[in-house]
Amino acid sequence: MADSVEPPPLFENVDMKREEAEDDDLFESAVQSQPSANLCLEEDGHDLLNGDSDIGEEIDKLMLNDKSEMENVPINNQSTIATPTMEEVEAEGGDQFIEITITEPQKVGDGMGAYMAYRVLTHTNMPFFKKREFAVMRRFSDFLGLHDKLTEKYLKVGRIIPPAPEKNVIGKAKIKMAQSEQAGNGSDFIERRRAALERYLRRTSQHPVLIVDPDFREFLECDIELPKATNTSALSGAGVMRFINKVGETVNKITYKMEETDPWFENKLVHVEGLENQLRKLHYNVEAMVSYRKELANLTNGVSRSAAMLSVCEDHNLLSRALSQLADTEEKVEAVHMEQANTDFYILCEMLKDYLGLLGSVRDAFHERTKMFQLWQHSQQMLTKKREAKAKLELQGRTDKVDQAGVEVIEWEAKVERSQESFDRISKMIKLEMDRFEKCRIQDFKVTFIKYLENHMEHQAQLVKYWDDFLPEAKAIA
Amino acid sequence: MWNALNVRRIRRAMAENGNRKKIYGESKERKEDILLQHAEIAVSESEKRANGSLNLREFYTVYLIETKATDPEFQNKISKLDTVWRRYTEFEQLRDYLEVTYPYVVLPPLPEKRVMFGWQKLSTDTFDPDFIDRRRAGLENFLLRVAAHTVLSWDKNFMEFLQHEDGWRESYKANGYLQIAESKLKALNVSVRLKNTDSKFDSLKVYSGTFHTNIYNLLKARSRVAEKQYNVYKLHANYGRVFSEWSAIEKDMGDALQKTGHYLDSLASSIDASLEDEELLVDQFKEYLFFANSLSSVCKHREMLQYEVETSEESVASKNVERVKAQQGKLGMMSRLFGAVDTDEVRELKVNMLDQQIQEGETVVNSANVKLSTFTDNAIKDIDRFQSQKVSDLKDTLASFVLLQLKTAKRGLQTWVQIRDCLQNIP
Repeated sequence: MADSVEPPPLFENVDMKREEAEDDDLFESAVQSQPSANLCLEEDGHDLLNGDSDIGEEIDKLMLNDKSEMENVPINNQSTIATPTMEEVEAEGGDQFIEITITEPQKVGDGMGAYMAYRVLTHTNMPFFKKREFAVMRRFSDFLGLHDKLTEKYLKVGRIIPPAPEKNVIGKAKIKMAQSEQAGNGSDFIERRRAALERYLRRTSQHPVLIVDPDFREFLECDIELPKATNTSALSGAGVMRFINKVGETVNKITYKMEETDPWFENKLVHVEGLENQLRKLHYNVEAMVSYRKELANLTNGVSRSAAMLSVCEDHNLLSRALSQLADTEEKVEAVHMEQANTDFYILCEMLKDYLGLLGSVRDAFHERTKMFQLWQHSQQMLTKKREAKAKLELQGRTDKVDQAGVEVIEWEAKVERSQESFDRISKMIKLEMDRFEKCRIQDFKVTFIKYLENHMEHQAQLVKYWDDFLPEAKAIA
Repeated sequence: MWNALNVRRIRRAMAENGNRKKIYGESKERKEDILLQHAEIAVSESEKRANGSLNLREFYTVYLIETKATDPEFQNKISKLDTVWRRYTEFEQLRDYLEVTYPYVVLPPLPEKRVMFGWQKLSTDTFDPDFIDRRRAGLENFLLRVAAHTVLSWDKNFMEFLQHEDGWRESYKANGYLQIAESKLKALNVSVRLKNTDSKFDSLKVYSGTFHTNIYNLLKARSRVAEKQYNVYKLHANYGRVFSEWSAIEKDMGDALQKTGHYLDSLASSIDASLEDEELLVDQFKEYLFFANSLSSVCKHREMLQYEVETSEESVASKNVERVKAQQGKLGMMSRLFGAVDTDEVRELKVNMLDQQIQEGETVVNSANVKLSTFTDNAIKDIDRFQSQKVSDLKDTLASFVLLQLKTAKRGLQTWVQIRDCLQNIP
């Protein structure tokens, strides 16, 4: 039924050496930005501390690697989307694959301190993971913590980071308060969250750079409980700070208009905005459809029940039998409608939401670039000011201050150069990322839609079958 | 708008043809002589007319009844082709007359006065062309059923109704049928308490009540489902719109998205036709909803007759008691107040008078009993006929309903397959 597209391997023709060099650099950055010891870092015996601690150079190396990867990688994507069931997904092909599943949500603890823990199961044969198969328990805040770390590291460079699933305070409180293990009223919520987390991890693992990130790997591999990412909780001090920052950024986004030198970016931004618009409308419609279908199912139940009552009051055997069969058929139809509503929701609705989030990340990346531009402009302005100051001092003949001014001028010249470089770099990076993103997106959409349609077709075929079965009975009344 | 109306009329005409054939067919099976075997009846058109002066215009609709003799030997009773214009009230008058004259027949019902189980798509305006068309079909159905009945079809007034437009109106007024009908039918609504109730008719009454309730519930539930289905399909039109707009900004997927949008639009519009077809079937079901009312009226009529029998028997019984008292001379106010006893002459006078009254009373009882038993016999025959007709009609309706659902589902499946193929072609 569902066609599984075989995704080509994530890394093709990547030298082992290259990879290790890459690891090297990553470790370096990891060591620098995370002084807290991570027990699971691979000790390859490499020299962890290079003399060169310039982030710029490290990024250069990364970029080189990326370029080669990008060129070698044809359309790569997974062939499956998170389904409501717990089936594991087979991603075949190539030497290297990784497949992540989330199972067994369990409630840990009691009362307000309780939380749900999810088991993250990974199958892989990628060389930089210690084992072929491993599983860890993680809680929701761990996921958020991972996302924060990745964003910190890579957003500045212009990468598109898949967004983490949303927090939902009310649903969470419900779970905490539930006395029994059986998630009666919360199971829906848990299921949605589990599916969302699975999709998040899968999407992140598709990204060739993010997957080798040590934080990500640690997240997948290490069995110990990760340090509590307390600054992800909604009501903490850090949370409030983050909120304020976000507000500031949003204002910035709206107010600052960048003069665009590269038409590519302008077009892309317009395209992204248009896409977001359409997806939002589609999402809205799908949600409406889901609720309509649920209502339809209920009403069909009404029809079925009244047909049953009518059949009870009829004497004539065949007629009453036909009527009771009508009641049965309508009941089955109702079940099909319910199922259809669920499919609509899990397959289509959630995917649309994911993509709306992803498009948000794309815009974040674009915004980073805008910030770089701002920085660059700012440094240029400073440079001009310093130059003017220096010229003024020279005219005034104050030689002592002139030297200092000269030093400043040189300093700012360097800054201007650096910021221009980073601006160029981020522009290139974004272009690469967007290419990859577009390809992924088209593939993703296509596969999801087809899966949805096949599901829908199956339901329609079921409807056809039910009515077909009933027909001879109805005709048989003599 | 007119095009759509015409399409609907054509489809309805096809359905009506099927209906006519069915009613003719049923009568042929029974090999009884009915009007339908000699003539064809159709209600073909409708017209809006105005009553009253220019300022206070009151509009009503008239329907054209065409009666054609198919049997050449029959022509002495009916001319070659008769066309009469009748309005709905006149149909009601005819039916009231028939009910009063043949109370033991389960009378075919008229189409509803107002739209029952209306929902979003059906307007409740009685001048809506759709409503008028459905009513026209219902009126034709009524006439056909009357003309297919062994007893009803030969009624003189019925034939007058079909042939002479004004003549019938006048004779109806002259015979004062309006008043008779009104009074008799009002009496039906009074509930009476009986001493002996016939068990068969009791169960029939209960049956007609439950039957009515259940069909009512079924139709109500179905109309809700139809409305929801309509909404779901129309929502797909929104999908179509979004897809079309989206395709404008996509490069690779654009083509496929646009085609998908078109398919979705066509899916959305397909529901209109199938829901209309469903409404035709619902009309057939509604007929039986009203038939249930007719059935319970028959039971009521019988109750009235039984009541008459019982009252007359009671009066005879009380007269008998009085006679005994009169024999003893104890009849009268004086004896009750003072215990005085009548003289012999007075006694004889009273006894004779009472004897006479008892005789009259007994004849009344006899005739009432005769009426009751003939009524019961006829009613039972007609009710049997009705039941078998009901079973076959409902079976047909059910089969058509199922076919319709099947067709809709298959069509939906086809569209979805096409959409899927469309999307699969994305590079």
